[in-house]
Amino acid sequence: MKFSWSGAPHVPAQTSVAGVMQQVLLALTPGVIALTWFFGTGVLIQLVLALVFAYLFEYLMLRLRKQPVALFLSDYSAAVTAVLFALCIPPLAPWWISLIGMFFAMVIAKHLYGGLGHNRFNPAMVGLAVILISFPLIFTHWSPPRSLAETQLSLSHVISIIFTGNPIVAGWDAITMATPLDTLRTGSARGLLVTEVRTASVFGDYGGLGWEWVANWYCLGGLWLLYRRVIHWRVPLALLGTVFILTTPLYLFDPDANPLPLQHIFSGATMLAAFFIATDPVSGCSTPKGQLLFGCGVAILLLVIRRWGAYPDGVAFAILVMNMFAPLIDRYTRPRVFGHPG
Amino acid sequence: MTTAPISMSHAPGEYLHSFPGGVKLRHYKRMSCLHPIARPPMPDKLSLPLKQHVGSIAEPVVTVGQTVLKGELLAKPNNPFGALLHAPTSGYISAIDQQPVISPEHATGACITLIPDNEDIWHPSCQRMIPDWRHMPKHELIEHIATAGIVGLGGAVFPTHRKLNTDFAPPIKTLILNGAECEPYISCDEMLMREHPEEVLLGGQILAHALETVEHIIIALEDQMGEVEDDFQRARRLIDDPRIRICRVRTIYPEGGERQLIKVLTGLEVPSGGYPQQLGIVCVNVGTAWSVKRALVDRVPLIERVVTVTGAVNDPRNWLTLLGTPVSHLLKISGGFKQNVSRLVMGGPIMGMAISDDSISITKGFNCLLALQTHQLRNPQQSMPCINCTECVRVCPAKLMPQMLFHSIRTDNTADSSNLSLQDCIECGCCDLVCPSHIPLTEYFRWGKSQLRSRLHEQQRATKSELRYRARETRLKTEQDQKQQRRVARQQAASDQQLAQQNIAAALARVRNKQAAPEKPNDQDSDK
Ligand code: SF4
Ligand code: SF4
Repeated sequence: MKFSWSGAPHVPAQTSVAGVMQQVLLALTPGVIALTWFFGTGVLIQLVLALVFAYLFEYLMLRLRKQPVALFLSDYSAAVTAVLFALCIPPLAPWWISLIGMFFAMVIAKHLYGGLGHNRFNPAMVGLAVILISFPLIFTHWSPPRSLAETQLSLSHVISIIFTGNPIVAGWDAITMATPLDTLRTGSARGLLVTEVRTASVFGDYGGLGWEWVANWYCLGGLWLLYRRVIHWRVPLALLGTVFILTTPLYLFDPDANPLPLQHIFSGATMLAAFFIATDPVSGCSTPKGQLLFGCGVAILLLVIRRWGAYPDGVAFAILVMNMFAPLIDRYTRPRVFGHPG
Repeated sequence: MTTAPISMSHAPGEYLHSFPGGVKLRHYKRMSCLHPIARPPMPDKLSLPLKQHVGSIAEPVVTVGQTVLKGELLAKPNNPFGALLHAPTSGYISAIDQQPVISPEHATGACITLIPDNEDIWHPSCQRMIPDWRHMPKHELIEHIATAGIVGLGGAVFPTHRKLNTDFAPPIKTLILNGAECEPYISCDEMLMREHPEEVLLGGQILAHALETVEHIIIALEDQMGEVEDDFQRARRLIDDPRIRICRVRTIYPEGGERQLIKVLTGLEVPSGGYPQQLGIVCVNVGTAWSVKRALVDRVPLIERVVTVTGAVNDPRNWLTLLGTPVSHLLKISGGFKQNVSRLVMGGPIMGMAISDDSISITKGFNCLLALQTHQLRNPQQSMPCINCTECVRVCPAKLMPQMLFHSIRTDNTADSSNLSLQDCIECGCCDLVCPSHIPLTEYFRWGKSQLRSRLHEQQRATKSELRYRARETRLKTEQDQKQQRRVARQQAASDQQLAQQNIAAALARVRNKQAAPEKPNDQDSDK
């Protein structure tokens, strides 16, 4: 009797790329729900738009590159990119923002670099950075958190705003307001003390109102990913730890000029970056020490951009810059091989 | 940066360290431990490959048609890395020819076919009295172990007498008996330890005697083998040797790997490319210790071993099998296959070797015969690009960067592969087991290592031929130079001669001149 031949191991791995991506999506769900709760149904519409465009471009590029379409479409990686992007743009942004963002994410950042596993840069952040640079004004149109909203927009209303670009019933001012980070930036630019700025209604206990709760839910999802071993603890810990360690002395030294450390952690996309963006394996570091450095680097750049940069939140740029350094860091932080002298 | 520790702060086994990486696996061992070890009925024929393990092919010392007795020598190795091969039973040699063997590179290999006569008559050499091992000098003991054809039975199949020959190493203080068979399904060592704990310990004592300086004999068990430890404790009380220590190690794959086990028990790392002997440690499988006892006390050479037959067979169990027994025979007496069996493996599911033909037979390194059903196998086609998730880095017990190695091998960058220490990969397959992209990493590494070896070989050959070329050049040049020198010397000699002749001629001429007319200017001086 004859039997099939193959090299060891004979049993399959228990995980799959699709499985990993599904877990990431699942872990993002609480954050998505929280964001929708606080900032309205626009979040969901953006999500759908980003998903549609992401899969459209993914499909076209796979066809163009003559790759196995079914295999790669079912890996859920496009979905993760789309969701991360959608969570970072204002809920009422016009529909073509997603189109442009996903074009740069999927076509340029992902497929022109060789597709899944070969992208040097985090696709979602490339898309976001392009939008930030080209249409900075969009980011001032952020919906107010639920408790501060003057008008509750109906779903059809939201859809028409997104697709026509016109705030029909009222002006933009009535339905949007500056984000806490933006408020802080413009406030300090006007020479106000941080403590004064923080009395504005967009702020909550330590982050932005609503934002801090969203951050909590992101954190919960992140912890679940840690528990499931989908991500490793090094990047999130290094990132959040560095933010905390760098901002605490500043705050203690001069609380009037420097925001609370927790505010940095609980506002903007810090938490999302720590657990979901900086932990992107493909564009990040792979050595244990490199991962620590990567997290630290993102944190430092994030703070620098928030403090001195021209953009309200520096997550996208911080990540992209560190993506650039990742191969170099990996090269110099290789671990000692078993049985080799130190 | 942490450095490899070079000395132990505890006695070996007193404190359990941990090794990097590793994977927790389901055991699947219970199913084959339900029956005691039994002997299979005698098969119709035994087929004994002359190549029982890597590195050596034995030369037959019997001829076709000859009758042999049980335990009689059949073949001798042709180099020091081999071991003797004995007749597992009495009968006659029906053929010495090419038969299917396991080794993946060669579908067939030279085998001795023995037709048993079912009398099982012992050869006189196995009935001769030998002196008590306790009074035997080291070299004689090692000689006896070599004569019994004993090799490592854990799978590495390295001749045991060579392991014991430690003239070039520091004194061996620690002997580890490895009973931690970390791969799923395999239970032959566990069953052996359950049934013969004293014999295993005795084997350990004999080995320790052969190593002379041993202070610690450590039996390493997995922590899930509860009953085995009780059996060993009882056996230890009987034997009463203070050097013996029983250690239960965590069951995490590949804890039973030699390097990993040594790290766990002593905290020491076997140097890359080195041997445990360099650290004063010798590590042998418990099955090997048992065969040593059988050879030195019962005077039985290595002609049988315990084989686990398990997986998708109807009656999984352990058999004390004669070498040469066909796999098909073992499968038949283990109740035959369940449905959809499409792969047979020698060894475990992770490091085992696929068998393409069930007519091959049991060899010395054959610890487990595993039948796997189609749905249990990995699908070789479906692999995705590496997403750099670093799961492989986390589980690699050699602390390598498998995903970078994979890349270096795929781009055929041997320099990078060896920079990333590809040669330190122990081919344990941990990285494969966790890779979400289902990349056959271990296959790549095996291939990459063979590339590295052949590259090294080529380099050595190139260096050698360059040396030869240089030597030839130098020789030619020296010859040339010598010729030149000789020529110069000859010319010199010739011109010297000429000069001398000229001188003589001149002198003669002067003499003649003098005689004709006495010199003037010189004479003035003498006049003063
Ligand atoms: S486990 Fe597989 S996908 Fe993950 S880094 Fe290693 S090779 Fe790449
Ligand atoms: S097969 Fe090699 S690279 Fe993979 S985990 Fe084992 S030692 Fe590491």
